[in-house]
Amino acid sequence: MRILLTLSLALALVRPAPAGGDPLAPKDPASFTLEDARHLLFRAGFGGTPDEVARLHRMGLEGAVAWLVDYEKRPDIVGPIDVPQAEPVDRRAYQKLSEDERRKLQNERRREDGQKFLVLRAWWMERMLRGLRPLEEKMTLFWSGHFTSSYRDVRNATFIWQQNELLRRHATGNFGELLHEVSRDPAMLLYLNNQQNRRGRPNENYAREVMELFTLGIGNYTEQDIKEAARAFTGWQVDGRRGTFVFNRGQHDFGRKTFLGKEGNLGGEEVLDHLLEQDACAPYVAGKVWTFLAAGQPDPELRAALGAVLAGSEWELKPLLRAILRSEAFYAPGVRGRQVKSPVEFVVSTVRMLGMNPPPPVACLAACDKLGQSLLMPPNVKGWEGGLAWITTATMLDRNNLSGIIVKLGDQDSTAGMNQRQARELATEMGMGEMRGARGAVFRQLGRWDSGIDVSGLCAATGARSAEDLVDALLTRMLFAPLPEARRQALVDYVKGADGSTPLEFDKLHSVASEAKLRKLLHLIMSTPEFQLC
Amino acid sequence: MHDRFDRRSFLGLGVAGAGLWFLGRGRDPLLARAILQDRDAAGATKDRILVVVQLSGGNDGLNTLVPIGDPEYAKVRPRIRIQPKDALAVGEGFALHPALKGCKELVDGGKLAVIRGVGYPDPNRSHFKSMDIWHSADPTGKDLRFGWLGRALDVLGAKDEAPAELSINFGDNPPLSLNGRRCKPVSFRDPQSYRYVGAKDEESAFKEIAKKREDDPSSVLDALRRTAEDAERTSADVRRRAQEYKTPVRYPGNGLAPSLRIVAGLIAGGLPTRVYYTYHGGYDTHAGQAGRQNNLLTQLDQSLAAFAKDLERQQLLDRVTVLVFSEFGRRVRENQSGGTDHGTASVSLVMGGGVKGGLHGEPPSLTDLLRGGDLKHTVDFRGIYTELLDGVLEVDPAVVLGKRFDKVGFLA
Repeated sequence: MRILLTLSLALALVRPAPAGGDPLAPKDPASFTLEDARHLLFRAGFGGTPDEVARLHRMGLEGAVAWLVDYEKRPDIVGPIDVPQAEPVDRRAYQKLSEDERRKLQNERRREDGQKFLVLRAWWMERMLRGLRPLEEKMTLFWSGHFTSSYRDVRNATFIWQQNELLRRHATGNFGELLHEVSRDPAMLLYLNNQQNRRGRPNENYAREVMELFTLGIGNYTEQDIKEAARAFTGWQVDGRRGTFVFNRGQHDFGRKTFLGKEGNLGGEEVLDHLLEQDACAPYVAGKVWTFLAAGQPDPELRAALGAVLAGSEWELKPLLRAILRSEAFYAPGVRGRQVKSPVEFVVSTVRMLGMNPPPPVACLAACDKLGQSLLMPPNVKGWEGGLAWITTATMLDRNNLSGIIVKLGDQDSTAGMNQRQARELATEMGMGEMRGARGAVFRQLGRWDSGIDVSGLCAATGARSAEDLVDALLTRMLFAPLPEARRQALVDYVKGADGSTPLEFDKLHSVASEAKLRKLLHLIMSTPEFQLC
Repeated sequence: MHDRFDRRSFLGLGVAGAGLWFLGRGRDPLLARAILQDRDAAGATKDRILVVVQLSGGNDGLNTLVPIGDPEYAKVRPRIRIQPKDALAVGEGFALHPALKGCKELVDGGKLAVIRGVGYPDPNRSHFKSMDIWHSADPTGKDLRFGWLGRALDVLGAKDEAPAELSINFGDNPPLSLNGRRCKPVSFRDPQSYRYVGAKDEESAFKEIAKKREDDPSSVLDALRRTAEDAERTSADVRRRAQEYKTPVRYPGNGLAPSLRIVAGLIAGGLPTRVYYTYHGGYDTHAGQAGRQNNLLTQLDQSLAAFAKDLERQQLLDRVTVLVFSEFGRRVRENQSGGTDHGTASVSLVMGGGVKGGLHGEPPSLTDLLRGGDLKHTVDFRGIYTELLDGVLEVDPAVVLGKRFDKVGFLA
């Protein structure tokens, strides 16, 4: 708090206040509405039921932000997992194997590793679906799209797990420490080819991306800086058998280097420290956090203010997160309801918003894969593009269909207009049964899944007695963007049966037929373009 | 601001046009298309079609079209060079990578142009930036709102009522190059799962909620609504054509081939699509290049050969032009990991019935290099675009690229 005050004072002194004043000016706590609380819970977490939103609202703005940011006080209910490294291959025994036997052994090891990787992904998905520390997982997700490494290239579930835990440990910790540790992280060293970066034979991959994507952004360094930094990172390797970082002195280039104006026998540590000293670094990183939690690219003033908070706190992330979540700007109309839900946000927030028993995590993973976001397998080193890039004609239909599976399948009475066989066929088409190592398991689990939601009860609780009131109450619960009248009317017509469907009987809301009708109504609401936003 | 309205505007269409617009957007898109399109006696459309194959990761041009006649080549590539005896000669001093057997036949048959030294001034060695530059056709990479094909399709779309599927992308993320101000691509990985699944009595309500009636000041919401409507409208059309397609040509089961097989089906089915966009990834060969590039080029070669054969048997190859490009080539000198680092100019391929087969473009020098040891480009990729815009899409290149660039001469 004191840091923030000092900072805003310092800011006011250093540069003239822009026309609108401090772009990160805090919101008046007295103006914190239920809608604000809902916005906060869906952005700094993965959303929740109306009851959960109301609870957050009762804490007040300060209390709500503290509840989200200082999550360490709450238990980690999903708990840790262990993804042990496979026993190293006995080299001598391996030498004696025939070509065929070697291939078989390698395939077997790859399959086992793939199984471990699936368990790891399901564990992370479960943390997001059920955990009590939403911001921890949300920021871990952010960092996994920032400090990217993909299992496709790393091919080692243990390394990917270690990196994921590293990102979680520092999720809201210190960016400087995070940068240093990531640069020694085995998955990262393998992913960006630093294993091949040796004295006299530099490999530039890590040196380039650490500047272009992790710290500065393009335009803040030269090709020569990349070459010099690559030399500084020579010898930063993974000890393959131990699975840990090792500084290979024999491969390190101890020669003189000039990097971003600094001269000397620079090593990797000095390069990283010097990156953190660059003016471009804090605004770049803090701006990305803003884009992830709020919406859009911050304008130059806001970007500078965000960077000043991060740099002013010695790279501690919590002051930045608090400043964002408390700011007036975060609750502005141009931010609310303007973010396209990523596939993971779409799946997890749908489940949490309806307060249902989560579907099997492996099925959720498969659904996210289909929608274009494979956890721990980002498409390239830049991570996921985000925003409208998630939306194509195909993923729009996939999202609609997934919503149908979520509201209709987990109904053990098969009343929702989609029977188990149809749902199963659709799940197959969605790729939910086709994951490596998970075939069959997904179906068995999906078949047993009881979502536990009672849509009739949920609708009865709104107190609505007319089609119009019911539709409006559900829209308020499900959407962040307003639904235009013509679309709302189509939903009202559906409830009334004006479009030829069987009308809903408000007197028999709890009948089997009503439950089915209401689930289909929910499916239609979730199939609107507006439902893609939060 | 009123993009959507512009797209639907009746300007230049007159009363009949207004009626067609109504048919085109609201009722029966197929009927509207049948009237609007330029059709020959047999009823097939005559519009020429561009298929883009993006090789992602930076394909090593020097080991794709190998300068076997240049003694410098063996010096800079001591470990990963292609041996002259293995390479497939296609001209004085040049030979294709041994995996490109089908391409060699296509060159000999006058169906494949190999363009050397393709790049742009002040090259960028970041995958993303360089890809952005190719997609936007802006070498500074500054204006990344729209892509070159999106801008071209905006022009075509303004002429008469554009179908939603003017361009089709085979992937989850629509590429920048297909992004126009008005024109957005239809995107999917698999046509068969490209549909809405709801109960019978939901269908009419779903059609209503997918219909876009309003322009919204929020561009995000506007784009979402347009996408929802396009999805609803195009899904039946695309699925039927892909499903009904039968071909005796055997496509390989991996890499690029499955999407090219679908492209062939959609073209044969008479879809009004002018641009198809496909991908083949994995060319970022920092280490162990020899095996990896061999696998990739084998897949590419077999896919292109099958596609050409399939179109030719249906007399469709004359209408189709395929562009194969990569965001950059690789460093001239190999690295010590048996690979190559990010470089500059590379080789592009153009295949089709209307192509002048053989080698095009000046070969870049292996000794007169840019600082850092990279090739100086000899052909600006915007010259290739100029030629494709003129000859295939029939859109004024100056409108799309700001000016006309020198053509390469690969179109007959």
